Amino acid sequence: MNPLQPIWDFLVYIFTLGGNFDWSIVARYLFNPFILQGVWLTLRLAVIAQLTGSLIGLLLALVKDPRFVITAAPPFDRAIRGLLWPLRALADLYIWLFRGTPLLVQIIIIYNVFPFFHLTVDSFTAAFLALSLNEGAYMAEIVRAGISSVDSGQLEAARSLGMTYIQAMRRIVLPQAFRVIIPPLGNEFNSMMKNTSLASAVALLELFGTAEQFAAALFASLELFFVACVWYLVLTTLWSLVQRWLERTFSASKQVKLVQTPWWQRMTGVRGRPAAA
Amino acid sequence: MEEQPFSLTEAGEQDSPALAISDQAASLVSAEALRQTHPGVPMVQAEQVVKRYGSVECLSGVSMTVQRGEKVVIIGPSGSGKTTFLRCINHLEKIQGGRISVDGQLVGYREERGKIVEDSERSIARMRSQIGMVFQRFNLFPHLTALENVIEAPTHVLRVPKAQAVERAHTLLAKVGLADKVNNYPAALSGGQQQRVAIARALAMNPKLMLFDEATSALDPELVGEVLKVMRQLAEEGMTMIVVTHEMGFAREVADRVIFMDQGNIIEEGKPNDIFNNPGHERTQSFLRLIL
Repeated sequence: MNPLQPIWDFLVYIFTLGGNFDWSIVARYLFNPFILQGVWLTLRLAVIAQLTGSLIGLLLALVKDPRFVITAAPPFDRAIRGLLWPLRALADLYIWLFRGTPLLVQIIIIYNVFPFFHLTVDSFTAAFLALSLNEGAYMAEIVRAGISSVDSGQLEAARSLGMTYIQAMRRIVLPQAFRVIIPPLGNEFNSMMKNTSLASAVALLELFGTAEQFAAALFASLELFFVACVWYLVLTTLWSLVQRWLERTFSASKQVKLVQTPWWQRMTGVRGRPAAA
Repeated sequence: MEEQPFSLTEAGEQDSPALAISDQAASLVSAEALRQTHPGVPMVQAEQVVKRYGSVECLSGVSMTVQRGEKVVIIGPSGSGKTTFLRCINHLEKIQGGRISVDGQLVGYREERGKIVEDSERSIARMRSQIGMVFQRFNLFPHLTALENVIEAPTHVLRVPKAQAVERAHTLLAKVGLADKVNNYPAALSGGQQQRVAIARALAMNPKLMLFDEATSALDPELVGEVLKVMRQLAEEGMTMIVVTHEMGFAREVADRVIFMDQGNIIEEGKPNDIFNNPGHERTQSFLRLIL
């Protein structure tokens, strides 16, 4: 008898969960066209919901900025100034509501509320709306933190040069705030890609929903959920690469060159060539 | 100082006609800015300006008139309200009483049926675009190069064609001695260089009036001279200037009038010689005794 047989048996036992996990199903369904369609749908949903949510967050953050003014010609400027506080109160209410309730519940409510107004929404639209609105509430706080990280002298200098609030924000403050916003934004999109799985509750056939359908039909939930996880990991890993590129592109390195030791050098203590002075 | 010394008047001393023309174009102050739009009207007229933060009164009824081309230096202990007053002139601060007009136009407010109300964002911005301001902390835009800092407002506020703005920016940066630093980001400039870029940035808007808010206070002592030199040149070219400073030498030399402020009030004003040599007020005397 092969002396390694018991070790092999043990490993097989572990990796097949005692004979209950069928790897051939994983192999068969990993590149199943319906699963791939689900991946594509998940990605699309996450991207447009994140974009819309970021836009909502930006608007909310601006409204909440105490220095915010709307540019309007007299005599409307005074009337609009009077509208600011109710606008701010609404923004606060919105953020309170969407951060304070579970996303799953929001998706289901939005899906079920439209028929009362004699409107039909498909599950994609409902999921898109819920994810965007929810994301907007979180992005509002992130953008606000980004804006307040920029020295207030920047806005003052811009305005002393004759820029309006919106001009100064767009040209001067937001580009600087963006650097601070990128890391949490990356986190948010990472969560977003996984949160799309909640849309399966309204029968959207995104990645997890598709996997669930197959799982039910084949009585092989673990195998199919494993397949889903592999694809979620692929998406989030690709995103982390994009994020790193974004951070490098928008980082302060344009102004001050930073030389970073690669992780393998830090861990092994191997010294690379010294950086040019 | 390592960098090459710059002379702001050099070009004019050459007698080549080509250079003479380029000197004309290369002045810090544009002819446009010096044109008398409203002759006879003082450049700045402040009447009984009151500024409060909550219950703290920073300015309690400050009045002053600055004539066209006049250089006024405001001195005083910290907390005397001199910076606050300067910031009120281009409406970076709202005021709670009185009125300020620049070149005959009310700043930050308008009259509506006999009442004074805050003006619209756009007309405040238009007003500010004609008033240059230089800050203690420079406030250069760190994500833009020196050149981009200078052309930012002309191209986006005045809608000057980019090529024209770039040309003017090159001229201005050369005049403040930074011809070789146009593509540097602010982080790669010394404090004195940053402040000179900030002055060029303000001048690129062709302002009628320049406000200097302790422009040299954040600088290392050896860098103060290069900034004062630019300010002096600006004064010689006829710019109307209000300067808040602790540089008494500069005040003595450049100011047409020195104003001493304390606790939100103008205590005393007069010719630099009178203020520095025989101040009339006891408070001025004790302040100057500590400073000089």
